[in-house]
Order: sequence, then structure tokens, then C-alpha cells
Amino acid sequence: MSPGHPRSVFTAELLLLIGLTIVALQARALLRGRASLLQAVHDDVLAATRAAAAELDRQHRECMGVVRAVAADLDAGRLSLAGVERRLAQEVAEQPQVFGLVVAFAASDGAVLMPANIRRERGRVTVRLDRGADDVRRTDWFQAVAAHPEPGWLGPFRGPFSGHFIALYCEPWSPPARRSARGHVCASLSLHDVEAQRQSLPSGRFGYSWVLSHEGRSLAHPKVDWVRAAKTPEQLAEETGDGRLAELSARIAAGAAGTLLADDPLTGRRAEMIQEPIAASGGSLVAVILRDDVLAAEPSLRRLQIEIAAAVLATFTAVSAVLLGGRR
Amino acid sequence: MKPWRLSFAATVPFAAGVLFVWRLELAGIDPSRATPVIDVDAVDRFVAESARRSGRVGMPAPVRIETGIELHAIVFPGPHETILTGHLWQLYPPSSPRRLSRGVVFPDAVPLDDDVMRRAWRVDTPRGEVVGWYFRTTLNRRVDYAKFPIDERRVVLRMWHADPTEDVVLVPHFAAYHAMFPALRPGLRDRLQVPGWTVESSEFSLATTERRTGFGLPGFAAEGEVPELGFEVRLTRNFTDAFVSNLLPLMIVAMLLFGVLMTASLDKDKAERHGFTSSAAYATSAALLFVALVGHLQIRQEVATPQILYIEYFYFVAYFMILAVSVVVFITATPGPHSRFIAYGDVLLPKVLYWPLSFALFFAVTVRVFY
Repeated sequence: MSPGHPRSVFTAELLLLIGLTIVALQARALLRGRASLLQAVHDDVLAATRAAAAELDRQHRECMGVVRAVAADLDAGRLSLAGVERRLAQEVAEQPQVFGLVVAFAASDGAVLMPANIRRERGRVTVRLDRGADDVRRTDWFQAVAAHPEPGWLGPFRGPFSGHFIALYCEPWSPPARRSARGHVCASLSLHDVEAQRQSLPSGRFGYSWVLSHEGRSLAHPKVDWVRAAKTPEQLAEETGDGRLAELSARIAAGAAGTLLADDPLTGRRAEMIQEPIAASGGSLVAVILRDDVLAAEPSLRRLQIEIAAAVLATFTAVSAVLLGGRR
Repeated sequence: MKPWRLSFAATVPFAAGVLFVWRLELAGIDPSRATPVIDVDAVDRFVAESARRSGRVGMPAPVRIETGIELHAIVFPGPHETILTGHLWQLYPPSSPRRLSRGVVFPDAVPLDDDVMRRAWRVDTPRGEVVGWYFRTTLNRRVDYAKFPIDERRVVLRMWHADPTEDVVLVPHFAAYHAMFPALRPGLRDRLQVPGWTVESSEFSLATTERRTGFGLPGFAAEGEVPELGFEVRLTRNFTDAFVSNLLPLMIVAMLLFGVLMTASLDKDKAERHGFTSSAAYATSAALLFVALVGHLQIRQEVATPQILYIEYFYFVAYFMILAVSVVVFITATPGPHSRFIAYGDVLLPKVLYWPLSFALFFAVTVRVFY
């Protein structure tokens, strides 16, 4: 075959230039469209996650406030043991988000006494947890409370009385007459309530939310088994082989907000994880957005990609035809 | 560049283009015709907007009945039929009218003998009376097969309250599900499998339907546009199954046809060596046309639809190529002089153009269907 005619080469170069310009413009539109779509979803979810984290923070603080008030009054002798049950009922009436409120103290004979006010399906009940069939001292939550002398959040536990998964905030106190003895005041939030709040978050159709405790344990997550097993991001990172998930725990420890790009441990898809701290409990709220699903659901981006492919092939065909036609 | 290398280099980009568009389509999610609802806020927004559009603002709000579902099986007995089995329940709050009948109807259902709607439980809870049913229903709804076999299917179970004269809106029973995130497939039993399909997601949706009758009642409140609850399951066809059963035979036909074209020669010695005669070439082309027609008819019987399916365009391209090869054979067998197109390199141009042209046409129809 002979070399192409100069006019054909010029025409081919011109076609190539026009074709590549069209492809470049379309590619720029595609990249901008993708970026703006992801940014819009990110902004929406970030705003919603911040608002939800602030609401959870408020609930945690109110829960802590109730415990502090009762513990301070007990500690100062302003609240007698005889008046505890009435006080518990009064406090929970004002703070409906508190699931259970309990005062634990050691009687002079060594027994542990535990009046509690716990929410049930048809209202609240006052119960004595120490008078049940099982020894309350063997329960996970009580052992955790006994092992933690400092005020703080504990959990998740399965409440033996209610059957609910709960997160507990406890503070110690001592009766004025027996400073060597130590009791606890604990208030709980129901993880079922937290789960209901999580479900109402507008993470969109292409994402979900995840609530983690200050120890990184899952408190609310669409995969209920992970809540039962209190799975941490480190455990999930180990299971999925994506070490980036451990960054969630690092941010919890630092009380920091941030965004992480990692594989979603639930679906295995590429995800953006927006994390907001819940300062009162030291935990975090994480909104997970599946980026590929967000993009896949936008038909205009798909059409743009088809246009790019068609433009590339049309340019290729036209240039080849001109070059071959010009050879003699 | 050698002509065959050029032919290969021209074919590969078009083949890659077809695969690229397939990949986009397989990964893409077609928008639902209804409005997906994943939380109470979305339901509130939809109901308020629906009331505004239908001029019901200020009128008493319809009674909301929370409705949940768990599908156990999905079967496609025909191209437009779907059999669903599962459990369905409704929560009737204490505030709902006492005379309100319990139950759901599926407007798309075509009752068959095996279909059932059997009450399975009734429990009083603090939030109201929960009534559950086991059901098996056969839906008949026209399915869009335009993209067959690179398509997805949305099974939509539309639900109305049993008593159409009551002003009732069915809404999803969100509290009954641990998560409404569609990829977690709420409302489907664990490990639900549909042969030939992959279950991608499920979600509740709301749409409006127009009630065109007052059912004989004066001043009937629910006349006009009213919201209707839907439960949607998105499935994608298993690509390997579809490719092997539909496109692989066609590709083999195309290769055999290329073999016929390769035997065409203006050189009598060469033609004799290959056993090339126009009648043999026509007979082979006719046989290949017959194979393609059988495959085409089989697909038409399988998918009874007035639409032209995406796969059919491949058959149309195959028919065109069979015709084109026959024309080339005819011209080759005709005494010369021949045009440059045929004479150049002893029928070289039709041969080297065969695959690029075929795949360029495949790419063109692919863009036409999926764009």
C-alpha cells in the first residue's frame, strides 16, 4: 500500500482533532457530573448525620444529667433510700427517652438492693431487680458496672428484665453514713430506640447508618447479628481484609469527625463513610453511602458514557476510512 | 499494516464498545416508576403532595394502615406472569374505625385455582390489632422486554385496602423491618433465589392511582387520585445464562458464515481446492439462515411481546450478513469483469470487512437500544 495522500492525512488529522475534542468535552462533563452528584449526596448526608449525632448527643446528656442528679442527692444525703422509687418515677417521667433508671446499693447485711424504673410496652413499671428469680449479680451489665468505678458509658447489654439491648451510663455514690460502701446509679438508653432513630436517618436509598460506642462496639446497625455480637470496626476490618475500617475506631478514640473511603463490610461495595462524634458518650454515628449505587442510579451519567464510547468509535472509524480511502 | 491485522484492529474496538455498554447496563439501576419510600418522612411527603394535587387539603386525612410483607418465592411461569407467595400483615391502630374490614387486594392479580389468601394470625398489641395472612397470588402485568437479554425486571406487588369505599392509605410497616436499605432486601426471605435471575434489591414504593368510580356511595371521599402501596423487587437476568443460550449459537452461525465467505475466490484453481461453488455456498447460507430462524422463533415464543427485543437486532444483523455474503458469492461466481471491491486481492475486501462491519452493526444497535 502506498502512503496516504497529504490531503487525506490532513482530513484525518482534522477529524481526529474534532473527535478527540468532542470526547474530551464529554469526558469532562461526565467527571463533573459524577463529582457534583457525589458531592450533593455527601452534603445532604453530612448535614443529616450532624443533626442526628447532635440529637443522640442531647439524649445521652439528658440521660447523664438524670444519673448525676440522683447520685449527687444520694451522695449528699438529700435523697433517702425510702424515697428512691418515687424519685426514679419522677425523673423518668420528665425524661421519656431514658429507658431504665436503677439505683444499686449494698445493704448492711451484704445484700444488693436494686429498685428500678423500666419502660415496658404499656407504660413504666417500678421493679426490684434484686428480687427476681436469677441473681442479678451474675448478669453482664452488673458485673461491668461493678468493675468500672468511674462514671461512664457501658454496653451494649441485653437487659434481663426487659429483653431490650441497652447502653448504660453509671455513676458511683456512697451513703453519707457509710462512705466505705459504694452504690451506683445507672440510666439506660434502649438500643431499639437508637435503631429506630438510625432507620429514620435520610442516608438515602443507597446507604445506611451505624452507631458505635466509645469502645467501637456496634450499637445500631442494619445487620442485627453484629449488634448482638457488639462487633467493632477492627473485627470487621480483620474479617473483610480492609484495614481502612480501623480508622473509624481511631476517630472514635480522638473524638473526631471525618470521611473514610473503604469497602462496606455489609455489602462489599465501595463506600464513603461519614463519621460524626457523639460527644456525650464518646461514640460515633457513621453514615455509609454506596458510591457506585448512587452513580449507577443516575441514567444521564450512563448515557454520557455511551456517548463517549460512540464518539471514540465514530472518530476511529472516520479517521481509518479517510486514511484507507486516501491510499492508492 | 497487513489487511487482516487491520481487520482485527477495526473489530476489537467495536466488540469492546459492545461489552462496555453491556457492563454499564448490567451495573446500572433503572429508575422506578413509583416513589420509593424508606422512612416515615418520605411517606408523609408523598401523602401530603398527593393530597395537594388532588385538592384534598383541609379534608380529613385518610386512615393509615401499616402493611408489611415477607416474600417466600418468586416464579415466572410466563413472559408476563409472576407467581408470588409469602406472608402479609397489617396493623390496625386503635384509632381506626371499628367497622373497617381487614384485608388487602392485589389489583394486578389474575385469580387462579391455586391462589390463596389465608388468615395466619391475629394478635392484639399495644399499637393495635395485627392481622397476618399467607398468600399465593398470580400477577399479570406487561413486562418491558426491549433490552432482553441484558435486562432487569421489577416485580411490583401493588396493594389496595380490601374495602375500596373506605378512605384508607396503606403505608409500609417500617417498624417491622430491621432496615429499609434496599440492598439488604427487606421483605424478602433469607436466601431467596429465582432461577436465571439475581435478586438485587427490594423496597416499598408509593404511587397514585385514579379511582374512577364512587362505588355507588354518595359523597365518596376516596374518589379521584389516591396513593397506592407497592412492594418492588429488582432482579437482573443472569448474564452467563442469557449469553450462552441466546448469543453463543448466533456467534457460531456468524463464524460458519465467515467460513463460507472465505471460500469465495475468483481464481478457479483456488475455488476448486476449497470446493467453492455458488450452489454449495447458497445451500450453506440457507442452512445457516434456517438455524438462525429457528433460534429467532424460539426467542419469540419464549418472550411473547409486540416489542422488538435487543437480541433480535443481532438476528437482523445476522440475516443482513447472510444476504450480503450471498450477494458476494453471486457476484464472485458471475463472469467478470468485477468491480474493484470484489477484484481487489481476490475478494479480499468483503472478507476483511466481514467482522468489522458485523461488530460495527452490533455496536450501533446496542447504542440504539441502551442509550
